[in-house]
Amino acid sequence: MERGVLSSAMTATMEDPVEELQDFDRVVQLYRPAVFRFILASLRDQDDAESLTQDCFLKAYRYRHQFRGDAALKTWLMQIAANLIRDLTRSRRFQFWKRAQSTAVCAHNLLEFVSSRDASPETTALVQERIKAIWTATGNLPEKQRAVFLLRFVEDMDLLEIAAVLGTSEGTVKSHLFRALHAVREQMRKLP
Amino acid sequence: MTHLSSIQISEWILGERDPETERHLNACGKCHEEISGLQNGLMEFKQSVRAWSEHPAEMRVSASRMPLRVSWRWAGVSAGVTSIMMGIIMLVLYQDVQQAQRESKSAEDLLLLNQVHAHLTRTVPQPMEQLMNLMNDETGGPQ
Repeated sequence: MERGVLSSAMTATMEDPVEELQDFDRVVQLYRPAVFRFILASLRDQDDAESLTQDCFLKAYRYRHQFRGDAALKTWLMQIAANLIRDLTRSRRFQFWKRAQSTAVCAHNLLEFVSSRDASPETTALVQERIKAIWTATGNLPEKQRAVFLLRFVEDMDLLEIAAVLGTSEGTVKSHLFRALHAVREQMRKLP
Repeated sequence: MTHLSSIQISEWILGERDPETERHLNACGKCHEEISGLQNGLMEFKQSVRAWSEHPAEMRVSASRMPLRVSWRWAGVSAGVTSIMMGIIMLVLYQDVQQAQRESKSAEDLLLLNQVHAHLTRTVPQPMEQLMNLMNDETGGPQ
């Protein structure tokens, strides 16, 4: 089934993005996981991620006639998602809840999904420590650096696509990535 | 030996490979280990985030289906209880009807028996019975 979705995603990327947007149900089916994942990893709050993902597709549907197809559909959707994340993180409400939220709880949630098949307890522990370090480091990154990091290392987007999503230059994206990677490395060096 | 700079490591991680860095990585175990650890960590982080983001989706689906499952279960239970109740009521009604039929039949049987008994115990033909009764009344009954 996953293979089916993947193959349809690949077919979809080969299509004209404007034409692809005509079948909006299929657009939601294909791109919702990536959009939700990006928002969830950025906000670390499932309810907010759910809500913003809905808003993202609602906005995309409302403004679908304005999409000219200059970028890939995924890039356009991620652009909408990034704007929504920015708006939410700047709101007072979110600042309050973010302060109230415990990062340790989030990291714990993430560690539950560490693939530890056929791994020794020592290896699993090492993997968990590495993930925790990256999670902590990305949690402390400025908003744009975190977005760049997640788009590159979770969504596998290239620098040009990320630049299009965030409305910035490729050089700026690279600079954000360098800083983010430096922060991650520093956190990982603290590991025993 | 001068180790790789932060920029060189980041460039390598981002896929920008240059021969000098590659030579160094082949020679320096420390830098090689650091890059391997970082690459592995990033891969594991990606897998965990992906798994995490897929998990709530499953939970949402199951959570949204859960009340439906519960209601179906309750619907099944109440349908079963209703069937049993209906069965008991039907059984009671059936037994009542059978009882009434039995009583009616035994009443009929009793009536028939009485008729047969009256016929067998008759001493005079039926048209003379009234006359015999009058005679019994006057004489004080047959001796």
